[in-house]
Amino acid sequence: MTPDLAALATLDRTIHEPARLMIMTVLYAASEADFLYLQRECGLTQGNLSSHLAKLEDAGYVLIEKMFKGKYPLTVCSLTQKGRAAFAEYVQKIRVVSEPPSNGRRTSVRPRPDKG
Amino acid sequence: MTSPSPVLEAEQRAWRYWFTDGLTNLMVGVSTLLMALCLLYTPRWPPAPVSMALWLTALVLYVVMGARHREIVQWLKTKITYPRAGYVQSPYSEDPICSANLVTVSLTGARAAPPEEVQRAHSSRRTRMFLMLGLVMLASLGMLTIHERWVWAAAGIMIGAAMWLARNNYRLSWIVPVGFPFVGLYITIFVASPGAPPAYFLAGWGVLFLLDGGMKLIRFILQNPAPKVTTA
Repeated sequence: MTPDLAALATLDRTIHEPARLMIMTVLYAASEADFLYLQRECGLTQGNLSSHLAKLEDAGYVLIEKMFKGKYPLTVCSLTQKGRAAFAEYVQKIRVVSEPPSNGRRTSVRPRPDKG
Repeated sequence: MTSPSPVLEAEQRAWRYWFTDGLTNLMVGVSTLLMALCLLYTPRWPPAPVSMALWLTALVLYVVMGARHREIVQWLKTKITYPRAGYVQSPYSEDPICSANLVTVSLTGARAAPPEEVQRAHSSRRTRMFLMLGLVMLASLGMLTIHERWVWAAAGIMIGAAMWLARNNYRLSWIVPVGFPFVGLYITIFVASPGAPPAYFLAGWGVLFLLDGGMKLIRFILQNPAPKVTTA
């Protein structure tokens, strides 16, 4: 197994799930967002979003706070430092696979020559 | 042309979200119109009490709206935008240059640095904003120093170009960049009395932003109906 493929095997499974990946992407880019915004951006149902946020919170990646903007109550989600670092690492690992190496050496899987 | 990465796209959507409801533009429109009214109806000596009171009210409102722009927009958003479509962090706290543009400055240094590609997007927005401000200042300088009627048409074209540059950053519709040359041309042709053109120009400015903001707000409310309140 090449080192790049080995890196793929160590991908963070908490982030790798599509819905959680969407949530992490939005929060990584926007710093903080409330439940309704995340629901609309990610196209998830209320229950689905709640359960994914709970998993991310359990992993220590997301911080969920109740706060007020004026008199309006909000459930605001933001990434923790740990979550931010985990997402950056995840993106880095994915990039290794999707981008060609800069020194011209290709590490992706090549078709084997036919022997028969 | 390559499409932006999901992170950059999410950042741009969050930035634009602040402007989609049109409240910022409505505020700019109202405060500019107030300024225009103050210029148009400056009380002459000895001032009549009613006109003086109206003039002072408009002036105070203008100053308050300028100084508390962000807080007022935020308050309106808590009433209109957040209950309908949710909250995402405003661009003010991400990009200090944006705050500087809109009078209030908010520097939240405690936040983590944004990712590299987002920083590049901030830098590109900042460049475009400086270009816009440069053009607006150049046009303003021309209006102040050149006392010819054609200068209003030229200023209208320049500010229209500046708004065209800013339209992606601040979600301006075509009404604003296209409207400014017409405002300038109107003043060049029809407004002859000395002293009146600056007030008319500001009034045109205010009307354009009011139209833009009002249309956006109506569209936003239609697209995002108010959530149903359930009573137990």
